[in-house]
Amino acid sequence: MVASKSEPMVLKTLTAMGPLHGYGVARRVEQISGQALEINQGTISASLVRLQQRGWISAVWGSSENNRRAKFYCITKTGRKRPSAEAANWERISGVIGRVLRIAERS
Amino acid sequence: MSDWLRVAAAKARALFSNRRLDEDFAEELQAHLASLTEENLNKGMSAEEANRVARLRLGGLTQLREAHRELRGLPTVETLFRDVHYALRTLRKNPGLTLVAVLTLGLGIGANTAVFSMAQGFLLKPLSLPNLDRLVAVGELKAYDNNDTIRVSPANYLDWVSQNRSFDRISAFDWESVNLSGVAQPLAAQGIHVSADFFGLLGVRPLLGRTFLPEEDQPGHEHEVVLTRGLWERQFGSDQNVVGKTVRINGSAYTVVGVMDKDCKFPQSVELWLPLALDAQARRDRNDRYLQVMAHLKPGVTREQAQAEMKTVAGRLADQYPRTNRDWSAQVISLRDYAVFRGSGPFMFLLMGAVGFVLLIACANVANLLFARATGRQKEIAVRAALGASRWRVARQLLTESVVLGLLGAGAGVLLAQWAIYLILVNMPPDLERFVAGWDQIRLDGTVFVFALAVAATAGGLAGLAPAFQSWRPDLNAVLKEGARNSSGGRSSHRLRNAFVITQISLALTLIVGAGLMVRGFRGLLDTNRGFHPESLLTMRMVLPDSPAFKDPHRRAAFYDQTLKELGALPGVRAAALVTGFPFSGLMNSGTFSVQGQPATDAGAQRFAIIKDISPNYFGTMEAPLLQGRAFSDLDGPDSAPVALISERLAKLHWPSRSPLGRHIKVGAQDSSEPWLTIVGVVGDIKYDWTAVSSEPVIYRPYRQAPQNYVAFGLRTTVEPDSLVSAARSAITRVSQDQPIFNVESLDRVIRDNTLPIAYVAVMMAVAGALALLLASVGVYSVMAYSVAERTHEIGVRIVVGARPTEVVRLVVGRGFLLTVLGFAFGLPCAFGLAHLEANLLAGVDARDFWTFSWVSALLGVVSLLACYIPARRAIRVDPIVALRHE
Repeated sequence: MVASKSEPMVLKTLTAMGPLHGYGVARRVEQISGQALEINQGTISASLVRLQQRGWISAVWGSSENNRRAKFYCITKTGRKRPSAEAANWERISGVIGRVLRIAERS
Repeated sequence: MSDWLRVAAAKARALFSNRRLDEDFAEELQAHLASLTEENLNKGMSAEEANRVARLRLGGLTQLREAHRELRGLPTVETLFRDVHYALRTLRKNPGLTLVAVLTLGLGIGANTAVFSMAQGFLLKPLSLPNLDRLVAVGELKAYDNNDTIRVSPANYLDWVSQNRSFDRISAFDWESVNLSGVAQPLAAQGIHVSADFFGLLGVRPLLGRTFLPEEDQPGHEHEVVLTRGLWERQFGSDQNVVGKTVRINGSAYTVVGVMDKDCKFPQSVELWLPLALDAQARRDRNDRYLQVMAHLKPGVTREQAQAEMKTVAGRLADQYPRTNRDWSAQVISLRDYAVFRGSGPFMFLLMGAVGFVLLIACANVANLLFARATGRQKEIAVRAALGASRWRVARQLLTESVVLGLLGAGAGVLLAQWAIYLILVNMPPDLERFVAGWDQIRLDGTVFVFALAVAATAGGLAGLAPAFQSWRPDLNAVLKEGARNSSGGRSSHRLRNAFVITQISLALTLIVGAGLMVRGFRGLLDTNRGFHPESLLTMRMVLPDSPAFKDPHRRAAFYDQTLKELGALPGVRAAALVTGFPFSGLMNSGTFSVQGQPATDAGAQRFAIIKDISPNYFGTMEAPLLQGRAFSDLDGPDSAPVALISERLAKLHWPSRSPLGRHIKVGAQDSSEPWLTIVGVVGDIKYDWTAVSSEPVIYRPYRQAPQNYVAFGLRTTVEPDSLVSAARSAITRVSQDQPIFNVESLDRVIRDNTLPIAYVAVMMAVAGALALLLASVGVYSVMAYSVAERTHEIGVRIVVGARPTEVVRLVVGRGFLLTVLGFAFGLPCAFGLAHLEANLLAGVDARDFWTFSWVSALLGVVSLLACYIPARRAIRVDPIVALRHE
């Protein structure tokens, strides 16, 4: 699932950057992954919903840098305790996928 | 809080703020889009281009919103909400159909709920004791004997107390009808002697005062009494200061130490408790088995384990005391089974089955209604399918509708059940209530409510299955074609509806036959007593106290002689007779007997009979014929040779081809201390036990040769029996100042009271039968009416072509007739089965009762043909022009 792959990156982003709105998170995730994720930015919103439901991030309405109303996400106390484990998990899975892909290429 | 819980909570919250969250998300997406557009503009794109690229980067707005909605909430629940909402709207749009369906289901569910709450009271919680599940009754059981006595001798009980390892408490009790005086009017009360641990074992606390102290079940310390709440209210006027007062029981002074609350009613008919003080002689007695024993299982010990252990203990005692204990074992049964009124189980299952049938018929009706409507909705369903609704989705929606109907029906049903239970309870005579275990437990409680809901959901589901099934494979071609012509429903839908009609008719036939047989059986049961005219017989009961004055049998006989003389001399009394229990009065003294020179070959051939001690004029008073030999006379006294009369049934059982006169029989075993009795005559059968299916063997003895301490008197009156009640009471007072009599009422009333449970069953079966008839006729009518409506066009064509009205009627009624005949073909075998079942339950039911089978078949046949004829009449009035224009 593409959406869940981005969850650890969203968490990482929010941990590193502090409160961000959806557009900011999406930009940042694209940068981290080196523009490698050829996905719609909208799919980030699914990750944001899931993380909210789990109580790892929370959202408040505020105004953006250019004075537009925007929803800001920030990491919660619960969320701060999780990302390391989640990230490790993500790296392990992506490693496996990478290896599978390489094997597939060779054969 | 774990993650999934938090997620579930968040999703559930989202269910209730759908619209706000939608707007929220839309706004967020707009903001995101605006940021992207701005970014593109900064890159130097034209406004239009910037907007287009931004949309591409973000993804389709509608899809995102849809995905968000699914992720945010609980899609299944939301669909369910939507379905329910839609169902309610559809139902509201068809108020007529909804009302009929809800009422139909309500009748079925209500009947089931009411009967279930009765079954729950009688079978599941006959006693309201807190730790009923851990309580057992322990009894002695003679090996190879299926007539378990469940009574225990005192010495064996004491050994059980010291040797068992399965029970943490064990207690014994013994019945005694006592004479209570020192109150406003002396009365006979049902007393129970209990060991001190009794109340602790039951786990109940007193309402006032205390229960017995450990030392109070020792001889010499046993002059305390604990009252039931009922007795306290009736005889002591709910006196708050009753504790410490003195009453006289069988002439001795007893102190009232406590009053128990309403819920403590064990054993069922108890009125007061006395300590069970076993004296030294009793403590050594192994042979007289008269105690009833119950126990509380230790934690972790099952009834089966206790049973195994008690068998070992009993085996050890049998080895140790072979003279008294050989062949005696022990059995442990749950107190619930022990307390359940014997015979109420099968009757409750009969009623449950009956109302189950009613529910099935109701379901078929509602299924018909929904089916007819689903056929009318085929277009709507086809459109939904064409728009991409999956089959499951459509079927689910139809099912939701019928389950919603079922739940609405449950509402109506619970109200009906409440009313039914009220009617059932309010008609119970209050003085009988306390003898029926579980009576006070009949109510609509949580369990009953859950049952009603489950029944409703099942019924709704059942009723909705057929329409849902039909929607499962919509033949779009057929729908379109039929939609164009709109002539009639598909062939398969006809088959299904015909099946409904056949099922309904066969279920109704079975149930009405069952009801008819039950009612007739009950009346037949009462009619067995017509021979002795119970309406002009005033009866009363008396129990002599266990006091020195009446230890001597001669004194008892003399007391009865004098009482009979006083009663017989009353004006308006033709004769006064004595018997140890009138027919159907619930007083039964049955036991084994032996025949001289014919030892019982094995335990299976136990000889059982009801034993009655009577005055010489008993048979004259009861107007029962003497078939052989002579009746008793005043010469059969204590000093003459012991004699007996036997009933015709007993004579046929044991001397089928020879005369029983002159033969010798004895009550009890061959070696018991009872005297041998010479049979001097055979009398006609009188039915004593209404629960017995066949007539019972009876041995009669003259009361002067076997004077018991309990008797009943019967006065054959020339006036209204009730007008003699006070005269009879004062006649007794002339014999003894403080000897109470009780149950002074006409035998007619006694019989009615004792057969009340079966009257209830008969009435409820009749109600179920009437409901079945009503629902089934409505079912047949609606199917036929619908099929006529469907065929209006065809009928119009036929009339135009020249069909005569009779031919049209024959066309419609013919189909109904065929369905009715098929219904009978399935129903009659079922009815025969039920008839056999009932014949084994109740004397008076004849499984081959031709009359009942005939009138029920005739009634059902006429009703269903009428249900066909009315739509047929409408069919011939069809105006061919209108019919042909009919779409």
